[in-house]
Amino acid sequence: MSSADLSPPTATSNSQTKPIRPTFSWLTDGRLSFLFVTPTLLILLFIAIYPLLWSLSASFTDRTLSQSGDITYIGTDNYQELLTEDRPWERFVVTGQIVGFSVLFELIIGFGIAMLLNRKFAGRSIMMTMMLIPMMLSPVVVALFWRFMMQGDGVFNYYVNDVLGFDSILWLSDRRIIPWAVILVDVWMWTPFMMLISLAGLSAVPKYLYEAAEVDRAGAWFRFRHITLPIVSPLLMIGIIFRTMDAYKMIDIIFVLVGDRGGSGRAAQTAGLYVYDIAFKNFDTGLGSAYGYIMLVVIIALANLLIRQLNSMKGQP
Amino acid sequence: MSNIVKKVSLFGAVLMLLCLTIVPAAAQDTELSIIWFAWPPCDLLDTITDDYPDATVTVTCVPIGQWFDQIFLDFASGGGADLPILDSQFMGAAVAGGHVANLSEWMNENLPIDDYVPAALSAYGEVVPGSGEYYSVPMMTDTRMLVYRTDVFEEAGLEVPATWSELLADAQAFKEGDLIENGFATHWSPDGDLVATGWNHLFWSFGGELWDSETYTVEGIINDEAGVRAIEFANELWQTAPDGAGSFGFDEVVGAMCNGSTAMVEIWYGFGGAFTSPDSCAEADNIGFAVVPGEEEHFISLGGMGISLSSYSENPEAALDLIAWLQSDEIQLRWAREGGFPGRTSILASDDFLNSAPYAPSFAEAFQLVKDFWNLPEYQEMLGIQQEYLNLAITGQMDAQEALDEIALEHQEILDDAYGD
Amino acid sequence: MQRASKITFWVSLLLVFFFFMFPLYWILISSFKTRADIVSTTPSYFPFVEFEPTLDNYLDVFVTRDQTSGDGSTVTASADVSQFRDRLINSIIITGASTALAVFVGTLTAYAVSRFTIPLEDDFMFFVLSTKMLPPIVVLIPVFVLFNNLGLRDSYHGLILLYTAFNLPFVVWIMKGFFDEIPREYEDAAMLDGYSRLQAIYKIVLPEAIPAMAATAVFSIIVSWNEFVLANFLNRDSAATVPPYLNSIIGVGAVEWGRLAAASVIYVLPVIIFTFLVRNHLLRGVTFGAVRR
Repeated sequence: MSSADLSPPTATSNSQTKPIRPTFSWLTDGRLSFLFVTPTLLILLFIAIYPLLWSLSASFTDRTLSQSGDITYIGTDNYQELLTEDRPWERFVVTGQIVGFSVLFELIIGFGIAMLLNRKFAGRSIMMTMMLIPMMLSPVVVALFWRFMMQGDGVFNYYVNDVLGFDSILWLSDRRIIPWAVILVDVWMWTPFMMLISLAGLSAVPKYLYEAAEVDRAGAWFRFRHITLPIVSPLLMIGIIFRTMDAYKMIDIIFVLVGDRGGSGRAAQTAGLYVYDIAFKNFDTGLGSAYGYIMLVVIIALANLLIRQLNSMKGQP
Repeated sequence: MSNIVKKVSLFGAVLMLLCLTIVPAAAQDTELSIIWFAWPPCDLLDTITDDYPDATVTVTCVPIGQWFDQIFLDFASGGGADLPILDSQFMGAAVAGGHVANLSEWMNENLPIDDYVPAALSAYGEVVPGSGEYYSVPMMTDTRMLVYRTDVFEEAGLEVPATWSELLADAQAFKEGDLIENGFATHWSPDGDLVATGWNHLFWSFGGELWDSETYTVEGIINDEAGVRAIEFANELWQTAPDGAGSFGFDEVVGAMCNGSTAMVEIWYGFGGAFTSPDSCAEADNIGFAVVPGEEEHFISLGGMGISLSSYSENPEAALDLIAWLQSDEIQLRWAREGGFPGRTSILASDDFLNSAPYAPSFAEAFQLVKDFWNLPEYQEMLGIQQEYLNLAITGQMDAQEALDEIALEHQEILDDAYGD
Repeated sequence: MQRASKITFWVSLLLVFFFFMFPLYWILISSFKTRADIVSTTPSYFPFVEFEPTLDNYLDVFVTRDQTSGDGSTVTASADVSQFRDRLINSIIITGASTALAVFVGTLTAYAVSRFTIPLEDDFMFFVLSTKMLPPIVVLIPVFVLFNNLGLRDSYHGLILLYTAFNLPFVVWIMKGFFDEIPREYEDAAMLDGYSRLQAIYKIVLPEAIPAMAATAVFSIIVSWNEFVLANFLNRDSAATVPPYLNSIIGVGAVEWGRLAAASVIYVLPVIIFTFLVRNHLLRGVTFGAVRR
């Protein structure tokens, strides 16, 4: 299997026997970059631009869902209405609570499981595959079965009340507990996402770094803090960015779990659910679009913060 | 690529159309569509329309959460089903947008208009009550029923309650006693219109009124003494319910009866079928049905909906023919026999209907007592407010008077904004 | 000491595993129960011992059975059962095509952004991300109007295009992080040997990238496979997918828990199988991505 006499020495492989014939050389780097970027740009523009402009223009009108003609331009009335009332702001507080705690728990638990699964043991890959199932299910089905299990006489309360003798936990009807019920379901469903990202990050830590630390007799905490975390955190950050953006928009789980208004006292009525309430249930498409735009501004600001954080992490050696 | 396909198929369609106009026999291939939400009556309608001789009828049963979103999105794009079945509350918005046709004239000429229960005709079809301008024909009528455990009542030596006070006393006795775990349950969730539809008729029966429809006044009317009594009464009922009843929807109410934990529940007649088969409902053999009681007066909330003609239908004539066929005696009797609820007095009184299900006899009686709330385009917004505070007050998370004052204040604001002058 | 840590390890692992598996097991056994067994206030877990299992729920998903009770009223929630097979095929086509497209297009874009000088690169990456930011409910009406005008409703290519757009941001971001980690020297060496850039990508870079592409593919599949809102409004007839069908089973009153569970179990199987097949790639896959060495 030695290389043929005529072939030039190559850096890529030694099984190279035929001379290389470059094809598509006319595709210069400049042309290629145009060719590679344009499809993504076009697809995203096609899907995003029209809705963006449509809802922007709708947000300055009194357009309703049932209207056929006669749409009046009403300037910034919609924005003024939203910015001066309490309810729209309360929705952001609720959203912040649910998104913040969901993503935080998903990060901690997901990373924790990844640390556990990062060891070698029998059944590891089966266990990992099974742990991923929650996020493969339809969110509506997930929320419906959780709703069933969280009932006053559901399976959870069967153990709390009938077996242990405590008062039932009113997951879905006590306004103080409802947001936590939503967080619990979101955590159950999406922790696997953070787990997978964490696992990937963990297996990227080069073994020799640990070995070097072993020689230095570094403690477990030191290894975690100075070797594991810096390498894993940029990837975790991308996970956090995507998870935050999805949790921010999520309405299906809440919708099924406690209903279209977020349950008792609107306890889990997030901003996304509120848009639905205005734009569809109240037929006020103009006002709903305006609120959608306020949501957009908030998430853009938040995403910028997170991306800046990500870049500063990547900047570190 | 797909452009070529489109052109070819367009050409084909034109060719076919030409053929159709030449050969008259093929003209019966009219296609009509109906849209409703997914539940047993929608399947029944699908089955029945398979036998319609004059056109091919497609019945689309969409998930209930997307039901009116879907219909109004269709309207917005100037298309959709020929015959949408809409809740009466959305009638105001549909008419205001010019999406459904006025059927009054056609109904007067083609349907036995005097045979319809007046309340149904008005509630499903009219935007301005009493105007005689109908935008839909009663399709599936509905109201609420009392479902109770015959064996438990017998053992306790009790009669079916005739007034709300009796019902509460029975429910409390059951909750205290050892016969059964809980007394009474209904859907008190703030979702959709769940808590309001149940509380409204309790309130009406206590002598209350939601608003003055002449002067558009709410303040001082809903938040009166009857209102406070009705909320406090509902709260006492709620205390005899299973844990967590503050978030009960339809499924949980059916479950509370079928799993044997509760002596009485109140729910729409439309769910009657869920209580009759032992396979799906363990207590099915011990379940009885009765009219929801009254108190000082006797009112029961109206449900159900009518079928309308979309302004965007390409075959309005054929679509109206289908409505006429659906409303004919023969089909109405079949509808009644197989689980649908008719809106015509003669059909309600027929043996076909009365023998159709164990709950049918009490339906005919209850449907004489129905009452509906506002049909305004602002309906949804007002409902949302009512739902939020009623749920909080009934489940003991807010003071009754405070909740009613809040409802009155916010309702009045909406009405003043819309009908101020 | 060693023993104690081993016990802690297994106890915490099993606790977490139990938390995530319990609801899954609940759904699984529900698919073998009658409604009466499901709504019973006393939970039962073991078939044959605690309840009599039935296969009716699975049969109901695929075949139409006599659905009337003794008194003639229909007892089963609606949704035309025979639709399931057609819808499953539609779901497979739409998910498959949109995933392939998103991963293919997104990978090339990510490569270009990683290797070449793109004007306004940071802004472009932010734009890609920002298309995920508008609340879907706001997007729904204009997308509906747009698709209606372009005749894209009830078509495969309409939803494929939409889902591709949904998944592109994730693919582009993850794959860019990945390419940033592959040393440029590999391609440079190959091109010194006489390969064109395109050949170098095809022969050197893509084989390296396959594991990462598998990882993004799994995420894309999960998103497309379960998307409900747009699928429900846009594709109602010939190109309808499964999620709206699952929602129809829920009905309005007595939820058909058994049938819903059975349909869900069947529907999630293909994704589980795919994930199981690529499980080793998944772990190694993202490994290269986004992590600085």
